[in-house]
Amino acid sequence: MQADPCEEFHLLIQADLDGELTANEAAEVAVHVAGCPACAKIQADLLGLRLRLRAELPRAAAGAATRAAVAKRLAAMPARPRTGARRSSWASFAGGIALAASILLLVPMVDLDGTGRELVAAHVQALQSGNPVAVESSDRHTVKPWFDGKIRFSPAVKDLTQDGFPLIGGRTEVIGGQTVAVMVYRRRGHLIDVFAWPSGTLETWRAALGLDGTGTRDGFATATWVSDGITYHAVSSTDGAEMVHFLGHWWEP
Amino acid sequence: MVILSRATPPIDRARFEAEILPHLDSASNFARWMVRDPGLSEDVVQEAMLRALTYFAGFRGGDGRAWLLQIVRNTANSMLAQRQSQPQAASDEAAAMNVADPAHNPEEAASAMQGAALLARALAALPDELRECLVLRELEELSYKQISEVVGVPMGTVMSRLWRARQALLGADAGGAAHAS
Repeated sequence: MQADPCEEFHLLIQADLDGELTANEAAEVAVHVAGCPACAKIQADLLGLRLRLRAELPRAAAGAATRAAVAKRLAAMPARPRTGARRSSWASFAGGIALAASILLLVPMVDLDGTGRELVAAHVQALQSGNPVAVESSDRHTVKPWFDGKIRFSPAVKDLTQDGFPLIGGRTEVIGGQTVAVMVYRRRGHLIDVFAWPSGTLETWRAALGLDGTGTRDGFATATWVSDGITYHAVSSTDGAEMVHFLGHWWEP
Repeated sequence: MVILSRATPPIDRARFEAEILPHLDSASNFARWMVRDPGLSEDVVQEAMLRALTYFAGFRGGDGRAWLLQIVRNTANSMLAQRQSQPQAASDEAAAMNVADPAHNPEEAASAMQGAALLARALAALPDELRECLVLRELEELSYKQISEVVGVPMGTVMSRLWRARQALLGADAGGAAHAS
């Protein structure tokens, strides 16, 4: 392209093609192009390129795996915004799901706060002991069988090494008089203890109503979720955002 | 059941489904052209959607598509940087895009097929800052203003990058797939 007297028109021709001009500006371009073969060629080339790009490079739709992962994460979220802490959530739910709430009231209450405190204490104690795992292995096929005979349920033991949360082993703890499984993951310098026990009716209902989730207790990031009849409760000194990432990866198929 | 509550701001799922989720395909296409590697681009999109869910409470409304694509762009750049820091040979771009090498096509291969493959190669070979603008404009059909939001440069810069990208492709086209006439 030699010195082109119409250079100032180039970006205008392009902007016209891109639908960025006012009607007056577009008319000005049209008048110029009608009398200037060089600019008419530029316009035709740009339009030709657009047609080819759109016809020959079909847009890539999201893959099935991505779609499934996103749907799964979304499905696990409450269908409406929730504000405030756990207590006010109870109040805000009263209107919309009065029936479910009334059923919930019939379920014997357990001391959830007490359990949460015990779990944090168990996490801290394990760190202090210097022996956070009784079986040390990054292989879930080693960790999972280790629980056989120690507990009467089968928790999910996931290999999240690829996601930056390597499994380092497992142990058992007695919480509220019940033996629970603990899967231990590492995130950079932090350990994540994932406690697991068979879900009680109350826990199942709480999960179904979206009353559980990530949070903090005494400065530790926590998360509670239910999967296949097992309640999981994670405790870690890592931050809340990391805990959300951990949960996202835990749920990946 | 994963519930994002106190550690992350509460999320209005219905609003997310209405304003962000419809742009998942856009996110995928943009990620694909940004990282030019189908496997990595799936990872980018999943990570970007997770970030979108995490940050959604901070989304003040407005252009959900530009907002999501901006997250995809940041995610892609950080994951590309992460991968480059690993001692792993970068895969051949054209091969990674599943673009057939026209030289291996039979002589009688439809010239249209060749043209498409060459065009994909030429686009994949553009410098990142030109390619992202062109993909957002021509394939995602974003306005200059939206592109300037996603990429974080003034509209004048968007215009000049689009111009350079288009001239580069028209030049590549002239050298490679000559017009069949």
